[in-house]
Amino acid sequence: MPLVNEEYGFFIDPQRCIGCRACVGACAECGTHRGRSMIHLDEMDRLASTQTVPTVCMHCEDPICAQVCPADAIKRSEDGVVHSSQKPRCIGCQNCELSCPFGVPIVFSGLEQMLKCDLCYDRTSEGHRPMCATVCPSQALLYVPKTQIESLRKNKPLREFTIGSLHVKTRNAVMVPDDDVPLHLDAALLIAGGF
Amino acid sequence: MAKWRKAFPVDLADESFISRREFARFLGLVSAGFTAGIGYLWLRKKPLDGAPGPKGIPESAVDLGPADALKPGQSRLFTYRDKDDRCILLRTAEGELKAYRQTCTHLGCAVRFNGGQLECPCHNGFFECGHGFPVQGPPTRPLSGIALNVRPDGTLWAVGDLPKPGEGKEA
Repeated sequence: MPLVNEEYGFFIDPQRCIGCRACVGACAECGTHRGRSMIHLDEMDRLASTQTVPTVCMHCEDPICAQVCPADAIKRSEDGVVHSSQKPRCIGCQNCELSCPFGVPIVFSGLEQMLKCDLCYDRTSEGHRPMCATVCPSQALLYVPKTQIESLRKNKPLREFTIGSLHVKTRNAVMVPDDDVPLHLDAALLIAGGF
Repeated sequence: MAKWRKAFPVDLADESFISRREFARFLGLVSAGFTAGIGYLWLRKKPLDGAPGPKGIPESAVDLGPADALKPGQSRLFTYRDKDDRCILLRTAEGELKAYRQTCTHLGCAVRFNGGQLECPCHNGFFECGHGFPVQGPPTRPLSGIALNVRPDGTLWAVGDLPKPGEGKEA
């Protein structure tokens, strides 16, 4: 039974991340990724903290990467998964890289094609969980039925973000302490404030 | 949704993808349709030959009154096939009767007879009277001529279109 459906959700909990990079290695092992990892694992402030944050594609309801693609190469399937660019169409212009509010797409030089997290579509469409979610030892990346998350975690899934003037609704969720207020991020303010 | 976005949808389900095979099939069917249509028209060709002309008006004779009414250098207007088919009847200085359509072959103004030549006042085009050939100005094609016939009772009749000068030489 396919695991890409309304029932299952991808939950990202940065507070649980221990920076082991198992997800990065596992991502590259996925059959269709062919040795290329599409997970970003960022260190927040290496001098002051061990905090790391894994970033996978949030699979937006209105994917801005696809909206800005001049070659019509980025498509979303019926189950809400935004896929990597189609090889015959992608021109490697990097519009998607620049436009994504989460910084997910990667244009691989040499390949001249944008590849991104596709929720391991070859696995999830056949009933397996995404590679990163299967290997994460602290379950910072979790792929479970949405109904289970309340019993598994105390914090709440957040699927709406305001980034600058952009309001984004996503398929995947980030676990936050309180989901009453949509997360508002403004990169310009953060940079001005020196993080 | 913007109009162009419908042609380039984000969702895969909305995309109308035409495969090479479908496109080739479409081309094949259209070509076969054209071929069949042309074949059908070819089969219908012979019956169509006997059909009436485009306007469905057969050649008819029109009475232009007494043949000697015009003196050399004079002209008068008449209509031949219908009220919009305006023609000019003239008697040349040599005493020969000629009739032409009054439509200049340049841009369609009405030509008039100045006693020696047919002239078009719009762009100073001139036609000689003998066969309607252009002799000056922008027109390059001769005027369309009307065949005339004088009957034994002395009346003049317009009886049809003259072949265009130059036509029939090859035949």
